[in-house]
Amino acid sequence: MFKRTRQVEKLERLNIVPIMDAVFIFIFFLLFSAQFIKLFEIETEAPVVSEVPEYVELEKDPLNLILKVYSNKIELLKGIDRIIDKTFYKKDVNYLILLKQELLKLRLSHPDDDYVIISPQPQIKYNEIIKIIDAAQTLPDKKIYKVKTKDKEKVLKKIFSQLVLEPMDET
Amino acid sequence: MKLRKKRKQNNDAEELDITALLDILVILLVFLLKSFNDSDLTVDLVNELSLPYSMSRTAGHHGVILQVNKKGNVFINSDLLGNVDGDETFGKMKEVLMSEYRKRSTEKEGEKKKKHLINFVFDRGLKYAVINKVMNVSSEIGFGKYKFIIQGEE
Repeated sequence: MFKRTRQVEKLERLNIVPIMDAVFIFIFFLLFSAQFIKLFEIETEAPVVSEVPEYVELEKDPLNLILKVYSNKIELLKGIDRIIDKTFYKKDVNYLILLKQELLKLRLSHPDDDYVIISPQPQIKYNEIIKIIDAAQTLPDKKIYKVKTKDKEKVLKKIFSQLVLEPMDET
Repeated sequence: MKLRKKRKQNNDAEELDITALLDILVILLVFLLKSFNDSDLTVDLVNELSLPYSMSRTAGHHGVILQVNKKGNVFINSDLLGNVDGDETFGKMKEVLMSEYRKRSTEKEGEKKKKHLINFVFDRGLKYAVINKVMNVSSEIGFGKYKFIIQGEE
């Protein structure tokens, strides 16, 4: 009768030494792989120059979106004829938000056109170009946007995923 | 008698209490897990170079790393080539990039995608004219995929 209770009292302490060894190894591994400045990338492509004129019959007018970046404004050009559709003035504090909204609207209405050409003036600073790229790529938070292409419906990961940087043709 | 008593005390030495140490380790583990980065890109940032902030969250990939700092000094894989205003800098840049391109062209077929990848690390204050010049030289060599390395916003 009394023997049983004695056995319970003498229960051994949990041996946590192997767990601690594993945790130490884990910490060393994490210390070596830790990066305190978080670096990410933005992918762009070199502008493709074709010297031979190609004649392709288009089903409909393509978006052919171009963002011309000036020191005081951003012009949004559309279509084969590159007509100025909208202008965003930098004196407006919310110009990047307005630009993003407009780009998102265009992307949703043109499911097959997934590229944007950004052509800044030579004196435009890199920091500003990155902000415009952000506006052209990053989707607004906590919302899912879908586009319907010919074959299927797909969820957008970026507003425009293909980006081309080319110098401004000021003529 | 006294000697016997002392020996007994030594044998009954208390166990070391490591609870506090364990607490610290757990906290450290959480912080390290938060800063863990699985990208295969490692960049040794040169002096006087501050990266722009971006909302992009695409992890970087290993490739040639070309850096241009605030003063316009050009570095390829952390080796200084010269200043963007210098006459010989772009010539040197072409030579180094060409050798990097050849080196990468002989690598395994499986890594074909990464071969023509160049990572640009530019100072946030650089003008587009300089960036365009650097990009043109890289494009002439055959690097068709550009990646801008940026800093994630907090």
